[in-house]
Amino acid sequence: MNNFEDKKSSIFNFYFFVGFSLIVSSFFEVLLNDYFLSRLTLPLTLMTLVYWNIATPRNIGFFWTMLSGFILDIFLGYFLGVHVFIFLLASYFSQRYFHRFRALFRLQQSLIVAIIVLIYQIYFILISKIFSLSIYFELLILTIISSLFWPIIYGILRYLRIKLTYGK
Amino acid sequence: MFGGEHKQTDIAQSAIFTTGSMRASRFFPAILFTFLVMYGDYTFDLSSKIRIGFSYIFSPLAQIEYLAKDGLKSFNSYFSSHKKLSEEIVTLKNQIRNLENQNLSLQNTKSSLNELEELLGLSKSFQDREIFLGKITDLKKFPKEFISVEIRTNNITKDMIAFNSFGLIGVIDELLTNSVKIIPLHDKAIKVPARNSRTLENIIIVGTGEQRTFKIEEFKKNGDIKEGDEIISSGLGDRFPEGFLLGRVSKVKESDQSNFLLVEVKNTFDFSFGSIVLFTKP
Repeated sequence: MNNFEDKKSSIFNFYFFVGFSLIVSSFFEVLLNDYFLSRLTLPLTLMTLVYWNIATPRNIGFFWTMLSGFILDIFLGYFLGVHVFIFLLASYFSQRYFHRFRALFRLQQSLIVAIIVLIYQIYFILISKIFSLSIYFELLILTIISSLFWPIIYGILRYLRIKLTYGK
Repeated sequence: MFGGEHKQTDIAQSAIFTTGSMRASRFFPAILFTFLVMYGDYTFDLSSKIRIGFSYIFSPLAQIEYLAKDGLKSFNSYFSSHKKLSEEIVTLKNQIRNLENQNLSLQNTKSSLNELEELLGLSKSFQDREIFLGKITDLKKFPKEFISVEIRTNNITKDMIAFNSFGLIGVIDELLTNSVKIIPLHDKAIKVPARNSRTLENIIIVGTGEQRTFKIEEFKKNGDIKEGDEIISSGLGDRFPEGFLLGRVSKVKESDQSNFLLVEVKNTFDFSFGSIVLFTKP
């Protein structure tokens, strides 16, 4: 249509890049879980998924969401579908409110992400049925760390997205 | 400017009017599917089977750590053995160089011994005369040809003459504390009483200053001389010993303007040869 459109990379490439980033974040999440031997994990995949749902809601598909969820289920030892379910929910609500989320400052976004992560971790505590002081402590720490991680993940993925889309 | 505005508008449009892919019509079936998978896993223990399958598939990956360790070990071992080999090669090269030096030195010793042997053989003809040996330290060809010889005795006198393994080569020009300067017989300043070995005629040969070349002074036109005649020292005047070959007549030239023949004699010795010089009195 015009020069701007011409510079855009194909949707096909972009779609696969989104999938690739989700798989890479799943891989790192599993690695971190193995390394720290914690019961809860730093939800890198969830944060990546939230980012893609907010940045390009049109391009994030069910396939990669479910695949990354299944990967985490398999490698973290959960029932198949446990992660998929929460990812689908997170994707749905992210896409429902992505306009509002985009308009927020980064700090506000971090707070929202912290709340999402908190709900996510509570979901896993409920599934695992482990209610102890140490796990609440883990929950608190991981929520704070996740909110600190959000600007980093946001920055990296945004940079890669712009690079891939406009080649700048 | 318009292009930029257009671009911004375009971005804004795509941002505002984007609709997500997660519509309820797709979302709920996906949730249903997920529940079905969960139920399947609960009933048939699917995840365990998948995990076992994955563990088989990814078992080579588990070996990567060990493979990397082994690889690193062999890598180190290769380079350490390579280093050892390189060091050994350097050592062997040094040994070869030392052996070559030794060989060279032995060859020098051998040639020195041969030279000495010949000099000693020569000295037998000196009967009871004292002989002294010196080592050549320097050789100069310009402006005046001479050799410097290191000596370790004070018994050498200026009237002595010098020999090398070829025979008579020169006379002492300058006597210093630990060395002597020897000038060759073909030096312009030297005159040697000699004899034609064929005709036994006494002559005097004079150095020309050119290497290996003498001339015979005042040889009359009616004299008997021809190319190839051997010229030996006559011993007259007691300056040079008798009977040493000095050279051969190489050229006999007649001139209308002179009553004498121009006779050139090429000597048979090499003034700069060897490393040892023998001194004796004539």
